[in-house]
Amino acid sequence: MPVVATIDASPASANRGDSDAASAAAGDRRAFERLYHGHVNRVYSLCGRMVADRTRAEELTQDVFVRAWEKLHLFKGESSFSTWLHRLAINVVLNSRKSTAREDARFDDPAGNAGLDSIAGVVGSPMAPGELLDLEAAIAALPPGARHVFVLHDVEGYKHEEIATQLGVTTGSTKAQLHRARFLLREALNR
Amino acid sequence: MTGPMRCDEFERLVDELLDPGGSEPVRAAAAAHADACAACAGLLADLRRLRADAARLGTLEPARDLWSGIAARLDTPVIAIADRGVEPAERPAAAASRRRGWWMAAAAAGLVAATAGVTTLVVRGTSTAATAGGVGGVLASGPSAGAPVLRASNARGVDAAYDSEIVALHALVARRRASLDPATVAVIERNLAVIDTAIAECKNALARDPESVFLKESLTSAYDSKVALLRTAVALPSAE
Repeated sequence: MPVVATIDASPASANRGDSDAASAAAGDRRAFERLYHGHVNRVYSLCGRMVADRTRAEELTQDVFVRAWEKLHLFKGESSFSTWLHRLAINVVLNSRKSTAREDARFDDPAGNAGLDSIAGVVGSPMAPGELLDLEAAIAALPPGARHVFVLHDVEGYKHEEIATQLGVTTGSTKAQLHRARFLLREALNR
Repeated sequence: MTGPMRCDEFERLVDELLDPGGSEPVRAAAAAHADACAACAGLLADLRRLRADAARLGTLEPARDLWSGIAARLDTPVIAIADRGVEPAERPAAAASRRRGWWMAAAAAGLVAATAGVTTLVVRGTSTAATAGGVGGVLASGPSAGAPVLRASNARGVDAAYDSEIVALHALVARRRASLDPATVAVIERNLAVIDTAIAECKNALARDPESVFLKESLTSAYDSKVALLRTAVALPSAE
């Protein structure tokens, strides 16, 4: 059973994380492993909800941390390590192309069980389990473009301008995708 | 906007009431419509709840430990070879970054050094100073240029020094194969095949001329190229 790591957003934790980031950038693998344990769930959550595929989310999560290890020397502490890592994770996910075929196939799933296995292991939500699972499953069943914007905006809290920059599209496009996602989710949840 | 908002307009503009910013007149008109229309008020309530629930979603936990796979990719094993100037097993991230960016160049340079130089010499069956001097420039541009030379007494000694690392790296690459881009895998395999050919030719030449320092250096250089290529392959991200 994997250890559940929760995000501790306290200033002390942030300082410890940044200190570990500095040590890891200097080659300290133990410090990097601590960073991994402190952030893996959040990174995995982002990857899982963006691609709606458990196996792919695991691969991407590993890619994010390998990439982080490679790029740690570029982390200058201008933002928190958590913020830096999260943006790196978004880049890794959005640059991923391999998931496209799997996602396309998944949306043809006549049983409507799309992505359900990607939501196993939800921790730390105040929502009732039934509602939570319904919402996670409905998000997983969204078309990729709408899902990406919904996850980044309504789940992760990014602004349209930031999302548009990350996706390389206009804010008009992200607003349209968000609108579409919300209506599809409402329809799915009221079924 | 002229006149009261219609339901279809409300549906189109309802996000103005959910997200900060936007046009104040539009927000006011939409709010007024929702006050007067039960159906649109229900829509607004549903979407507000959806937005709130999305923000309250917990974190997902991977069903298996992912660290071991990450560690394996970071942990490209490095054997301690005397006088080879090998860096310690735990390298800084910056070095890892340099390795990744360098891999195509390493492969290309390795191929040039291992094939253009070594193969030519080996095929000619000579290791004279004059001939070696003729390809010195090519060899100097290879990845092992400037690196201390492995002090192995023969080809078997060089083999033994690299074997364990190459076997371990091959196993890691095999494990990652499915997650790598097929085109990348094909490039890696082509380059490995060329380097392996150069290694085999070096060994054959050393069998005939076991004291040739040049051939030993060439063999070491080819092995260095192979290890560098394998290490890079291990550290590559999954297919994009």
